[in-house]
Amino acid sequence: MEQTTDYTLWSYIGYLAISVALTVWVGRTLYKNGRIFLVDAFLGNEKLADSVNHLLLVGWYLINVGYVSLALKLWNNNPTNARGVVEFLSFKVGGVLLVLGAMHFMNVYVFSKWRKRALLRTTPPPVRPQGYLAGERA
Amino acid sequence: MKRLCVLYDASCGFCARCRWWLAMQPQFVELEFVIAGSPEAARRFPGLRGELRANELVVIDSGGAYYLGPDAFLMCLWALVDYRELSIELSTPLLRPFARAAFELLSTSRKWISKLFGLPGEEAVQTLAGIGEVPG
Repeated sequence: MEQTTDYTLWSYIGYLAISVALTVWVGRTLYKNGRIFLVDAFLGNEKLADSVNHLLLVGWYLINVGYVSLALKLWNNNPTNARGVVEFLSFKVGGVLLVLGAMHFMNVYVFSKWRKRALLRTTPPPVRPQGYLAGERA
Repeated sequence: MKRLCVLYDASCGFCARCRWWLAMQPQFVELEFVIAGSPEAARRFPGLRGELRANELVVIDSGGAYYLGPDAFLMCLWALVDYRELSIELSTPLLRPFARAAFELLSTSRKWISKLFGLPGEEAVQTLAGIGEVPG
């Protein structure tokens, strides 16, 4: 009986392992380094920042692992040799990386907007008064 | 600063519209509106009479500081959650002269704008509605 290697199966396994590992690694890095940014965006409210940080991490895992699973079979010709496996992995992992990057930039954009808005609350008036009314109460 | 009191021209339909628009916006600082030249304005700000140049928007904060003309426009924007950023940007050295000119143009042509869009002043609206006297 002839022994044949199932290149497609091995590609899938490699793809899932690399993609999930990347998702977890990027997620943990952002979780650790994004905390200080979130604390600032929430005006120093550390409890809220930690809570949101944790929720974001869960959302990150769900969306990215979901995308990785869905995108598993989006490939026209299954690999029949080692070169095909490398091409498959490179294409698929590249797609996952782009999705991770887009998600990351969206998060940073949204939170920098929040932060800006939080800072606006305490921004002093842009102009000086022309004068003062002595003893007036508006 | 807790509140800003805006003295506006109630005889100008465009100004009355702007007053309602301002009142509807989410605010960082509470905005209060008093008709310029009304008995209420005279009662609350007796010291202002000399300062108040005709044809200018006046904004007075709860501490008694007052802002006139283009600066008063900027203060109104600054009071609003969605426009505070714009007010800061408009007061940078680069944009400030343009903002100033635009607000002055808006202020001097307000009667004309009201006429163009057919916006009646508050007195006219109340007379038409049969309410009669404008409460001071």
